[in-house]
Amino acid sequence: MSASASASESAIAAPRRARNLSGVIGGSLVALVVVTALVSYVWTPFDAARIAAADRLLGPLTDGHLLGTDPFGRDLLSQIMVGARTTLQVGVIAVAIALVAGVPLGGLAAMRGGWLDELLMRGADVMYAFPAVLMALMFAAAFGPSTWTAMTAIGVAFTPVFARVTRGASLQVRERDFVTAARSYGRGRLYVFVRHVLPNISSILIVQASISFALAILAEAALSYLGFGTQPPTPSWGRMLKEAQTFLTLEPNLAVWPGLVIALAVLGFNLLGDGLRDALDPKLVERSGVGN
Amino acid sequence: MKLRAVVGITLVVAMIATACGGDETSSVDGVGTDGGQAQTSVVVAAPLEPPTLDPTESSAAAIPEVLLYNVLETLVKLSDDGELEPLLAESYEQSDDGLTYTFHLREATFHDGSPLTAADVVFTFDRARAEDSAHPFKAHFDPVASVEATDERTVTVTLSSFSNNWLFNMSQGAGVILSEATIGQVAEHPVGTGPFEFATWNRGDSIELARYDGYWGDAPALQDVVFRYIEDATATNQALLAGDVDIISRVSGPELLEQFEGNAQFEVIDGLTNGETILAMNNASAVLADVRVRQAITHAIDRGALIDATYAGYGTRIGSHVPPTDPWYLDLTDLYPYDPDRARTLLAEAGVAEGTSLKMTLPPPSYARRGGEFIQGQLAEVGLQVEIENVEFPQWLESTFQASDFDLTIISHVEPRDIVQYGNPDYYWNYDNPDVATKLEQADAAPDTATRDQLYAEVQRTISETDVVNVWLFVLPNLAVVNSGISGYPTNKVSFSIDMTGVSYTM
Amino acid sequence: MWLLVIRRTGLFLASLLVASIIVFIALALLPGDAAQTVLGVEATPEALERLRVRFGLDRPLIVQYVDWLAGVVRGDFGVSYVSRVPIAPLIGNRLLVTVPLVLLAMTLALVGALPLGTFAAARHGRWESTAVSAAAQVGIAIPAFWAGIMLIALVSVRLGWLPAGGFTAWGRDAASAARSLLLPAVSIALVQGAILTRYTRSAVVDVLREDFIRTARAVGNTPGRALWRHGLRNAAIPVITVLGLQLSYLLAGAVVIENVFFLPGLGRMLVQAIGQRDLLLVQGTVVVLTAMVLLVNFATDLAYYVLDPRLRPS
Repeated sequence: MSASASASESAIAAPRRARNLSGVIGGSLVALVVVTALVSYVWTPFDAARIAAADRLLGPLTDGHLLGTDPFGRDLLSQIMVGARTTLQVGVIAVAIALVAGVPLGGLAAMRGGWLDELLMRGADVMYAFPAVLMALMFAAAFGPSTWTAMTAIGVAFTPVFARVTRGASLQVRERDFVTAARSYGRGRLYVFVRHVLPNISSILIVQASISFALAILAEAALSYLGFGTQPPTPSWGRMLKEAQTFLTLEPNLAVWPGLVIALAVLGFNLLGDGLRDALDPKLVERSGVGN
Repeated sequence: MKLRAVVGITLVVAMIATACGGDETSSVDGVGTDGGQAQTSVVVAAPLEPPTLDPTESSAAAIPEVLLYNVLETLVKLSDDGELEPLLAESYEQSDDGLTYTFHLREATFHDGSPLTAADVVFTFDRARAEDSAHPFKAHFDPVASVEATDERTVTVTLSSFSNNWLFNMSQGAGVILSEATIGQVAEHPVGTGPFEFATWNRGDSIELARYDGYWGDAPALQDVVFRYIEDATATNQALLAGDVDIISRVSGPELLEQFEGNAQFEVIDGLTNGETILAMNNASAVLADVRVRQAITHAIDRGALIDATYAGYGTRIGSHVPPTDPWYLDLTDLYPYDPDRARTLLAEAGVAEGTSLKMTLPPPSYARRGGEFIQGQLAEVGLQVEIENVEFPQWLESTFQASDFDLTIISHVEPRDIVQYGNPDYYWNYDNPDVATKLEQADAAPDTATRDQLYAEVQRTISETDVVNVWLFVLPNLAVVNSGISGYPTNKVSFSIDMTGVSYTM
Repeated sequence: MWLLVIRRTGLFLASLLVASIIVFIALALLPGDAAQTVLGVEATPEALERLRVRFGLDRPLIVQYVDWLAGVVRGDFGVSYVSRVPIAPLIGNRLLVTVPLVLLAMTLALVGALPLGTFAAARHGRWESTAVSAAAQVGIAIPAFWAGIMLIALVSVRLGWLPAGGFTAWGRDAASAARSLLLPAVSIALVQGAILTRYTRSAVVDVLREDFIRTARAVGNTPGRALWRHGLRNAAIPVITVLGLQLSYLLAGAVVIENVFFLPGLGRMLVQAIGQRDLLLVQGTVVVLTAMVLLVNFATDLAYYVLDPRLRPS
């Protein structure tokens, strides 16, 4: 930046730089999680599922166990690495469900309007008021607790958010000239939505997806902590915390690492979302940043 | 929730709490009664709060924990050495054919001041066995043909068939005597004849009992007993260290006992219970029907390591469905020692392919959930893939216990002398051996203990050595921690009761 | 205005109805039932059948539902299958844990977030602001239950200052009760406070850019004074929106923290009740929870009208 830049310009520019920085940090953290998950398919320090009763509750840096072992003698680092897969899987599937269900519903509400719009939006309101935790619990009770039920419940809970965002953004885009023009050529609503509206609201959806990804990670961790998510032997960061709590007086170390990696992954996706928002500059993203 | 959040309902939990067959019991020795300042109030920590206080309406183990012998009393009481001794019945006689019991009641009063009469006993028993009764232990009253009040304080009970177990069952929660006048309030304010009367229930926190001055027997040393409900093991330990509680009645995190061992301020009690913890196998399922597969699974599990990993080494190994405290116990723990190679060979002989999948349902208690995870890992070593399904208790009862929709499950069987279940071909593990059933019947009707013990020994051999019905893992320990000033706290759990009647506290 | 109230009330009741129907059907379909839970493994089939009849579980689903609904309309939530006592006081008892917990947590969050967010906004563009934003980002990323576990490890286990879990009834010892809520409230407040800080900061930054603040500054007010006299009311609206969302989320969402600290709260009772198939208790709890969430939303909307006269319908 040149020395002649005015004070006010730099005041605005500074946070923009900071924003870009956060995008970079976020991207790096996300990349780290992805790489860890990928590496875990070919290499982990130990077999994450290997039970060795003799190696129970070893401290960090003992016998090649960088972070120590759990009450079953399993290597903590290996479990965290494999757990990264679960975390990413949950984020991807939950967000995909919310996108696949929410975007068409929101688009439908926006393009059709009238009573259908009203009905869909009031439905979204009811879902909002219905405690999401409760929904996840009932899913778990009905279909058995598993990573899949947790992902589905989280995805369903996020659906109204995506529907609302899509609707709001579509309504704005709908009024623009090129859309009106397409309509006047006799194009159907579906065609107009897919060809003209969707590409123009994609940046909003990308940012929303990134932030929802972070929330999905938190939600899965909480559900697994409660025992309604990922089941053994699949490692899950949230469930590791539950087990760690029992041993808090003996090995507080057990509770530190899984929590830390959850926080880093969530931070990564949140920062990435911020960076993307800054780069793509959509408005209207719903940051129901309350999902924790 | 820890999600073992699941609540203190019934047996599964009961299993942790349990009754014990009995052996010689030592009480905890405190610092002696002289020299210290006598405390009249004791706070007992327990993990699970009862859902209701009516033992005739719910099988929750947390109910007798608080009430049995403390507030509500039975005709006879199970003593520490497993003998039945008089309680509300000052004495009783049994007819020569064993079918008629005559109970002579004490001059006791209920906590509302009304006297105990024969009519109360008749009312209690008749209500439990009535046609429209939904008593959780209604089956315990099945042998009863009639209950009659012979006079004001004499009750005659006639059985329709001989049963060794009936009087034993009446010493437990099912046999507590209630009065007709107060029956409607039992769920929230039970009224009994015990040394303590119910004072208050702060739901979500504690239940308080107070000494009953009109008690028929020796007055207890304590004036107040508070049962505090803290589910978390860490929080319970912290409460004891901070002096907020004086007794941890059931240690749910055995690993954490370390901090009390060797600390003169506390005494760790490692007693016995009657809970045989088993890996139950569905003998009717396609893969497990072959005895070689069941042998292989037994060989594949390192039970010593399992006890270390799930119970911090506190459990006692067993090799059959009998705890070491029963008179007919046989040591069969080394029939099928840990031997993964042998397990793999047996599986190959049985034609079980590598990666064959087995479904394991696990109820909420931590011994089941953690034990399941451990066994899953060990069976994977020999090429069996275990799919764990963690279930809530109602679901376990319906799908596993009733419908037998499982291959493997882990549960602690806490009912005393429950080897009889191996004679029931419809029991959830689907074991059908008429010879065993016949021997069990003969044992129940056996005239002398030698014959009885011989028959039970034969049954043990058959189910563990020949048929390998289940994998018997360990007997749940009765783990408690008491402040060293406490004396008289029972070491073994001979019933569900946390019996505070003989406890005293000197600082 | 009246039209709005009627419309909102209608939506409110419709939402409750829909929620209760969903829960009722879902619960009826779950494997296992309350009778079995209550009687345990030694129960005879006849006793189980008797109990189901006594509970009314043998009736068609629709009859059970209508019966329950008729009771609720009269203010009668029925009797819990497992506890055998009326449901309303059970719920009330749990609210005495959850509501103080949530209110205490949000008070702590507000006390931290408002000054911090405003400070960061006032220092907009300087390192202090960036530091606050970064700290808030980190706070948002922390799972509240992990914060709780870490606090237990530090404050309870290491220092022994506060209980690691459990609850003392208000009636027995109010001071102890408050102590049992302190750590859980702090765990929640750390995370929710971080979220609030972020929103407060951006709301105040937006307000500071508004013309009327510039005008106020132009006529000689200091920035702080201009903000205090003219800006806070405007900055409050987005903050209150978030606060409303947080409150309604926490009523049920506190269940995770209630489990970390083994508090007998509403969310925890709900989880237990589902586990025990205590159908009517689940129903009652869901209705109360949903109603509270909707009321919080309604109160949030009312706050808009109070704060911003332009939003008031004429």
